[in-house]
Amino acid sequence: MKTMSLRHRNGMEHLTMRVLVRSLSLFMHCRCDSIEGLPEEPIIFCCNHYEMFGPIAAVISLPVQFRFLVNEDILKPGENMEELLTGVRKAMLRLNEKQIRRLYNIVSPRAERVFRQLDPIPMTQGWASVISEMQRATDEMVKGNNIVIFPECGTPTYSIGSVTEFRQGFAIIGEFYRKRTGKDALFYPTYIDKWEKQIHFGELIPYGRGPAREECMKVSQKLYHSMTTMAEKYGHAPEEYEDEEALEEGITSVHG
Amino acid sequence: MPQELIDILLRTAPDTDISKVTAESRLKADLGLTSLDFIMIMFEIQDKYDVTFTGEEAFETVGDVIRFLQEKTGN
Repeated sequence: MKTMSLRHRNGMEHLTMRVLVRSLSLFMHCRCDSIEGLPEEPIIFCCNHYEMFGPIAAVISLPVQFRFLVNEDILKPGENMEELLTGVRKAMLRLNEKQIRRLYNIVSPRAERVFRQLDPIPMTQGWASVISEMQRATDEMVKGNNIVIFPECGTPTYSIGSVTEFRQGFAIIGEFYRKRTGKDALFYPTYIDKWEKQIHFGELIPYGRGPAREECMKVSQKLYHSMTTMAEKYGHAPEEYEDEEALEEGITSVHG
Repeated sequence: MPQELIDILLRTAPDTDISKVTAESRLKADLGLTSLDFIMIMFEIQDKYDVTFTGEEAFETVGDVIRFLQEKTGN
């Protein structure tokens, strides 16, 4: 399987992106458990978010061709800092408000460009758009692309492994995929271990043949169980995040 | 309210008290639908009426859904 390719409009942008990805790889690249023996069918990799580390680590480390779904806020300059900030809160606390705002102005538009270059499928936070977004993801699967999704929806606890509860509706992709291909979609629990810089995989979870609602709930529950099992096995509690209250105060001061 | 929509509501969100549902009922605040309920309703609507959602639709109330269906199906 091929690694993810970058979408590019011109040579300079492409070069910039390659340099950026290479730079990120230096300190965010993860080793992956073997994926030998995976079926040839497109697979839905369901990853833990772990701040911004998860998405970036997935993009630069997963050894497969894929399209990924991303919160559309990350694609909006000026509105993407809440998403980006969560990964660097500790560092932010050492900066004053003026410095942070200056940093926002530098990082925000560039982050938007970086993510757009990766050609993600944007996800809104509204209910109404889930169906069309999952259909777009299905279109990609029918073309042969794997999908990477981050189904967590809970507030990060920063406890061991930091896997929070999972959404359920995204699994409706299993219905769409079956209608288009007659096959069962396969969901792959993908645990990104930030501290060991390793990506682990659980057992493939097929979308079953029961009613859509039950199947969505079943897939979500099985994924969550598999991810928490891996989190307990491989997770590491980051000591520097123990004083969560102080960190939240830091965020509040930033956002006024 | 169209009987077919009532049937979909009952199938996808069986806890809904249909006797209290009006066109003005808000899907989330009044009927207490969860995101999964809503996705299932849309999935059934798409399946039954062969309509396509673009993601631009704003469904706040039951009436919004009815109007959407009327526009798409011409009924």
